[in-house]
Amino acid sequence: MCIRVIGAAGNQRYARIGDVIVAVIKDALPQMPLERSEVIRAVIVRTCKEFKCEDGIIIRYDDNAAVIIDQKGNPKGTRVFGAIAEELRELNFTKIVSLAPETLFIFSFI
Amino acid sequence: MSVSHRRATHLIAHADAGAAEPEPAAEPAPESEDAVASADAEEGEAEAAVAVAVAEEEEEPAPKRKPKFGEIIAILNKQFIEEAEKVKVLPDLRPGDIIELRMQRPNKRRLSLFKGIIIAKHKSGVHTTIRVRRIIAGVGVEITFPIYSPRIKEIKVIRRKKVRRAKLYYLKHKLPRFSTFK
Repeated sequence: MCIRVIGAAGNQRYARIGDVIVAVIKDALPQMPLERSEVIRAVIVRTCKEFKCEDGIIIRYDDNAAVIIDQKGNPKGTRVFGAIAEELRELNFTKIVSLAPETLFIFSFI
Repeated sequence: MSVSHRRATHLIAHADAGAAEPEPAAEPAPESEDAVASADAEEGEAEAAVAVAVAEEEEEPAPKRKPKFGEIIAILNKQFIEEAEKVKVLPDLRPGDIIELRMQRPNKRRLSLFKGIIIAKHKSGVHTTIRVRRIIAGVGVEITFPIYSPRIKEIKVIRRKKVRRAKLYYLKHKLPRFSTFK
């Protein structure tokens, strides 16, 4: 569950693809390095809400997904599932993009 | 005829500099052309030429009506679409087509490839968009592309699926295999 969007202005309510959020774990599989009710940081990689780019391209995924990262931006896990936009590479999340099974290169962030 | 002569000089002045000469308020027709041509001149010479061409076309066979202010968008859209069609040829796109789309990536030479089924087509002149759906790595992705954008280099229709709807939004609630394309 998301608690706070990092680096957001005071009036920005929601996080978009590429934003880092502070979140708390609500449900975890047993025998995992992270447990329930741990506060973690994550970067959002897919949203059900459309992401509009300046050149008129709109992208929309079927699920919401985030990748848990540490303070520096490296993913804590070793695998990533689902498609990841290659634009995250420009935001210094290169390791996540390299772990992705399939990448989409469509748009450019502002 | 004095009327056509006056209108001809009116048009020549517009074509040259885009400066609108104020016509007497006797005829409302040249005034609307005034607004037409001056609005076009703000945008550039090409648009002024369009207004001139349109008005000249109408002059020869005894003019019936002038292009109204609201028709400028239709004229400009047609012009933009013609310019875009010169660069690439677009096939007839309909919902239910399974297409392959090649797009230019910024700062890279290779073109990215997108496959999928068209689930919607929104027609609005040069900003006509298609919505393409596909399952990628287990996750459904829907991307809306403006088809006359210069970034899109090629669209190819691979197959046509028989559909009885104009918008196929029901596909996102169906099984993933209906949106999977190799």
